[in-house]
Amino acid sequence: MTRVPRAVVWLLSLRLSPEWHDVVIGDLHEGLASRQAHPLAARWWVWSQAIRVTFRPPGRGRSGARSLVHGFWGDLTYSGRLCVRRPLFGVAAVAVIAASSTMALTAFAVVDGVLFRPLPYPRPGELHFISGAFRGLPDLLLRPASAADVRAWQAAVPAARLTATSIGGSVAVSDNEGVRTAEVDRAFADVVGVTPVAGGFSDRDFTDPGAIRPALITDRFWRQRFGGDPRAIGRRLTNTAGQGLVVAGILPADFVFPHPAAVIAPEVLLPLRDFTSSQLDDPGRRWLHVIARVPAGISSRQIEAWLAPSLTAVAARYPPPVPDARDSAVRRITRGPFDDVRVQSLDDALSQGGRDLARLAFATAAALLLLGCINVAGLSASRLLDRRHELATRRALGASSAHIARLIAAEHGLLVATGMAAAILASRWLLDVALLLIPSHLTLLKAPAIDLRAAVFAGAAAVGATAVSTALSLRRGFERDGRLVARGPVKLRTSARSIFLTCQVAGALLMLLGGLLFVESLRRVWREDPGFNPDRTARLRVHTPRGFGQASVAELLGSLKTVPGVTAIAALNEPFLERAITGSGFTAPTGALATGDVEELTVSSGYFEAAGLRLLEGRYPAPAEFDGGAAVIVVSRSVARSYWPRANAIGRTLEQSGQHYTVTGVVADARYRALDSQSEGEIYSPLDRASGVHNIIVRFDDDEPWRLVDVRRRLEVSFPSVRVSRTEWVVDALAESIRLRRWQAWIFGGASVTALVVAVSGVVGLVGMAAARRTREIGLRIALGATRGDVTLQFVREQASPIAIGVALGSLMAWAAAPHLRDLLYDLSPFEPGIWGAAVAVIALTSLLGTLVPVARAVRVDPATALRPDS
Amino acid sequence: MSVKPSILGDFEQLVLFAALRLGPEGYGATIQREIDEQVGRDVSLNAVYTTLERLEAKGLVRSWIGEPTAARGGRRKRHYEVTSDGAAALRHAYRTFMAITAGLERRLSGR
Repeated sequence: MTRVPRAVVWLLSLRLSPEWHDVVIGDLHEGLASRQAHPLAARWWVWSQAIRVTFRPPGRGRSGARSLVHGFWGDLTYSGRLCVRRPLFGVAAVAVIAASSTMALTAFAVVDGVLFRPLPYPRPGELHFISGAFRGLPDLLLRPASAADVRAWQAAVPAARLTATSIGGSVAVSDNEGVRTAEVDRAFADVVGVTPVAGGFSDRDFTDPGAIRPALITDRFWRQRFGGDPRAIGRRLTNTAGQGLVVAGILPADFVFPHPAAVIAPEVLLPLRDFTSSQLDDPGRRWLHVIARVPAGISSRQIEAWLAPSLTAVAARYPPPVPDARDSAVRRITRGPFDDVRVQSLDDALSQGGRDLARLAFATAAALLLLGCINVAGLSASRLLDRRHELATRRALGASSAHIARLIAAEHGLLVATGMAAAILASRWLLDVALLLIPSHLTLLKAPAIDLRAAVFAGAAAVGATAVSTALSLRRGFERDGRLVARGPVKLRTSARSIFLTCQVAGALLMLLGGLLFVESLRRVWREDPGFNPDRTARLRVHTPRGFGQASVAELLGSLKTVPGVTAIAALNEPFLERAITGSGFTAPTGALATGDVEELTVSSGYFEAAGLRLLEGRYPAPAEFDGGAAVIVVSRSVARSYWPRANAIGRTLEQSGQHYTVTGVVADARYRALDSQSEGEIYSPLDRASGVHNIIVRFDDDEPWRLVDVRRRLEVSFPSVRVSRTEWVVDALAESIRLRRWQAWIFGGASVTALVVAVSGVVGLVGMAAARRTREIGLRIALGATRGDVTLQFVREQASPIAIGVALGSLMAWAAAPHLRDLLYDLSPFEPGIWGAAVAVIALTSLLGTLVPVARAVRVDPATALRPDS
Repeated sequence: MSVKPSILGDFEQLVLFAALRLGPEGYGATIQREIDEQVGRDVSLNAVYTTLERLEAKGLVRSWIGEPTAARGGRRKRHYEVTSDGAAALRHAYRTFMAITAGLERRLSGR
């Protein structure tokens, strides 16, 4: 081998200039000649030398990579200098990106734990919820199952492994305190794939749990109660009656109990005792939630088909249902056996509702970011026209299209990165506000935070935003055939400007409509009458010790009544604005109409005055009567109308546990679950039959904040055995009960305001730049006799078309999206004409205003100055 | 005013000394061969080219394109010659080396 291989010659021709190509091939030729004694080594040598030269070819100055970096860095510093010299564009672009990115980043930080974080179980795709269902009640999901159901289901699908859990219990850890629990069977750890970081249940725990229950505690509970002490295992928490728990193990920090009701997420897990024969023989006792691990590849529908025959077997063991006219329609169905079964992936079940909302919030934030990009692209495209001479000069000096694109990308990258950095700082503050409003029912698999994941998102969003804004404005950098516009003043192409205007107006209208709908929905909830008077009223959530009888309650109320400022006080033994349903122990009278879930509230005599209920008929029971053991009750309007549809309720009786109670008064329906949850009727019965108190309602003569402190202090000093877990004004409790709606209104309202600001600033920027470019034309028109009003009108007329098209396009998009909002709105159609009219009017007016402001400034130009050759 | 000579890196010194030894016959292939023969260091052609380019940019060597020769398959050479600045830089490097090694001859020779 004496000649350099042709492939090497060809390869080097790709990378080297002709002069260097000749030199290098000549040197390789000489090298080959001197290595002829070893042909194989010579071949290896020539190829290795050629490849090295290919990577770093001589005659090119810096290497390719270094040159690229140097060039990009040069572009960046040049862009920076340009922004400093003409700060208006830079400030506007950074502000727009920062505003839209702050919303996007905050939304990401919140929804990250809902949308993107995988479930903390091994192979989560294999986990499913199985629940019985009723064909007549298709909306009732996740119905608990009986032990008989669980046994039958496991037999029907041997390929799956089932675990049964029971939620919503509590265990005492001291005399006046309990903690939320869930019971799990012995298969739970294996099926779900949760291994305690320390300890665990033993086999005996499932057969004989004893009075002190062995418990797996959550990481949070471990840190709160035991300060993270690794010797916590074996420690006991009990009340004086000897009931409580003993720590058997500690769950991992990322453990999430696999049930969608995050508000009742347990703090400890207790062993679910193996099913007894009596439990297995009672298919009507349903209290178990069933999770199955099914081998991958088997669909939910397939499992449902396999389970269907087992329903018949369980149904056959039910006694025939006894018809009862007083039962509600729902109750009549649910008293019978399951006639259907539902299998739902755990992933879907855990994110039920929350995920849709999170998707909507994230889509809104992404749309806002896109709107910001369009805005920056529009401003940039307009400015590139001003820089046409500079770009033409670059072209003339040999800059390729790639170089021009890199220059534009560098400028956009700089603006986006600056805006994003500002957004990261601002979103920390915004996230703090968002956390105050975040709905408690969202199952978050990680705490919302501006962390590494959020930073990665911000980085990705910055790259995306740079790419989008660069791509949208690139066309402005090039002429039709890749050559740059180099001559004379160029009128801004109306097509490009119109497209940017149209997109911004359409996007802003879409988001404004969404925001207005959610805000109006919240306003309508706030307008609802709760049925009681929340002003100057507070509630204290209390936990009374065992044996805290009615004498003690009376003493407690009497003591608090003497606190200065207290005008009325009463005890209530039920949840208050906690979205809880407690039901009623009264039997509906014969001839009653079907009702929903009537609530029974056991209250002390002062309750009607303290809560500020409205009496509609009859009278309130006298204190001596109500607290003295008389069988009297007060009912709400719905109960009166449904229980005695054709008669006056006053003087009628209701039966409970064999005793008949006489109705003395009818009051307005009250919303005790939540402000947005319609009342289905209440019955107020005397507290004397109950033990303990859940809430104390206090009415003051003013709403000074120290009133609450005074009452709480008196209670804690005078009754140390009573623990107060929450003290709040009823107005605040009402607000808390509609936290989800407030969060929606805040997120979407905030996004719509930001979108409006972004869009209007875009219009001002685009029109302002166009007007500045046409100064000479404006001057000429005025010199030829046109009034300033004529010129202004002409500009407004030019912008009217793209704005109108934007409004039409935005309305069309909103029309398509609106049906998806129907379930999220309260008492409001997503097509509410008033809202749509207001949104269209606001967008049209602000856009026109955005046009007028820069034009009004431009027409103030002196024609003599505008027409000077150097202007 | 005297101009401070350039500070040379190890490989730059090697390439410059090889070019000095070769005189007008110094070009890529011969410089590479000279380093190999004198120092026993097998360097790549590309490293030699890159270093020569850098030295030329510093004004320590100058280059010109020669005529094609049959021994090179009809290809031309790029000749390199050490400039006076290059020679000064080498002198400075040599003196520095001699000064810092003065009195260490016995220890460095390993005897």
